[in-house]
Amino acid sequence: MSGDILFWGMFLLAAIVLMVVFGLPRKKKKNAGSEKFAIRSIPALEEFATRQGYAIESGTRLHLSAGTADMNTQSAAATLLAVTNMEVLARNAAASDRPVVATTGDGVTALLLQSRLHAVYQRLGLIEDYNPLLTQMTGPTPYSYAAGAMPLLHDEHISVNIVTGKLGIEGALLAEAGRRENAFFIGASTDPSGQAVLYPVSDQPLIGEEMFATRAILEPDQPASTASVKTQDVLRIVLCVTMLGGALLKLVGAL
Amino acid sequence: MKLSLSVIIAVLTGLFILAATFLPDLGWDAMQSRMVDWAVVLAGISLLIGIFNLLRSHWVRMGLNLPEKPEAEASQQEGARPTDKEPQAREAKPVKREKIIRHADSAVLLFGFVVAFIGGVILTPANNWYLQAVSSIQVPVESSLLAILSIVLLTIVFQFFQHHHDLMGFVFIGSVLVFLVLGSGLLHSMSEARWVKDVIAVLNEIPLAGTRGIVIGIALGSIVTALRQLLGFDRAYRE
Repeated sequence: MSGDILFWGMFLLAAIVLMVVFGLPRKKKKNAGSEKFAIRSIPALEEFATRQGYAIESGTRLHLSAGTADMNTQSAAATLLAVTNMEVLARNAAASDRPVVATTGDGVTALLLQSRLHAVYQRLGLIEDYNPLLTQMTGPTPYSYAAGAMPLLHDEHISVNIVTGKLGIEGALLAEAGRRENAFFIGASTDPSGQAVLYPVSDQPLIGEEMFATRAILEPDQPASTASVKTQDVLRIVLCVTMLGGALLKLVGAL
Repeated sequence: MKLSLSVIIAVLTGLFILAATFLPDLGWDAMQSRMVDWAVVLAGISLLIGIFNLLRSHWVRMGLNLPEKPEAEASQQEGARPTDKEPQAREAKPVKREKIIRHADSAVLLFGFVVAFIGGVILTPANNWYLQAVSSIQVPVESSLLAILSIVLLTIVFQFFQHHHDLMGFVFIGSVLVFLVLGSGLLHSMSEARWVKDVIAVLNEIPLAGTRGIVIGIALGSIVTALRQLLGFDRAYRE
């Protein structure tokens, strides 16, 4: 039984890898019909992409929260996603007077954020402008993280906020602090209770897996990001059909 | 895809751990658990670095002057610039107040850390008096945050309804009201009828189904993201 599960687990992973790799649009086809590879519309992320441009132009700052999850939990993937998102945002805003600020409640994530930010500044030849305090672990527990990040939103003149990662109900405190600064806020969490809170507080609702499309929206010319979002969509449809099929078969007594 | 030594090490380590998990017959369990132990030790060290970073940021915050507000924000929040004879003095007051608040915040945090650290070193964290002292500060502070959170959540619900006069707004408010009534246990005590219990059971399944749907979506996204990291398409580490 355990062998079967392992076999199917390996099979599923191999299938996903193949979908991601072969889902990449070929160079020749890219120009011919790029709309074929366009991902579905996600209004929250599209507005976020617009707002981050405005923030850079108006000299205000972006804040990215990578949540409070440890790297050895199931939310690690969402946290890694936040790190790569921060890299894209930092690249866009590096030359502005007020570069992106990133906060987290985990030590490993703080180091990763710092390391990626340093790499971005080094690559852009702006290493003298690099400030390690742009990425901060504001507190090691969920509430201390929120309490530490709240004043930061005021002090750093944040005008755009994004939360991607694991954040519980304390996310509402962060959103409220941002709202007092008239900051645009969107957020999605891997924690269902956090997601329930982030839905009404967001200026544009962002639900669960939509956060994994952030990079594809911010960098639409990157085929690998688009391919993974499309893979996710295909897998979701396959899963829905399988679940509904299974339920129907059980209903008619075939299972 | 540009390959560097760190990318190769990260990809090979990831694939090794994955293979050891899915193929236990290979006998790589001991090495896998040792590598996971290394990761746990490194995570512990990184927490210390994170705390050091936090203290450093508060130290810097105490020493730095408050930056000027950006022009766009200043004009949006303050409207027209004051035209009387002492505009600078007027603007300086709130800035000075904010500066004092910032300094006080950071000073309290640094002072609290030093006291807790020295107390922990001298008395050890297992000491009853130390535990009581820490929890008598931590528990009221967290309770206060929870109290604030409940008010914030209440205002959020009202604001959501104010701004969303569409179907989703009504669905949201409707579900809040229905589950408030259900959660209070009022219906259970009001009626013993079988159909009422059935209706309650069906209603209670709805949030569960929604949660599962969201979690499945997140799981799919996590798998794809993790594989992208594992194969080196995305790199959250230094190249």
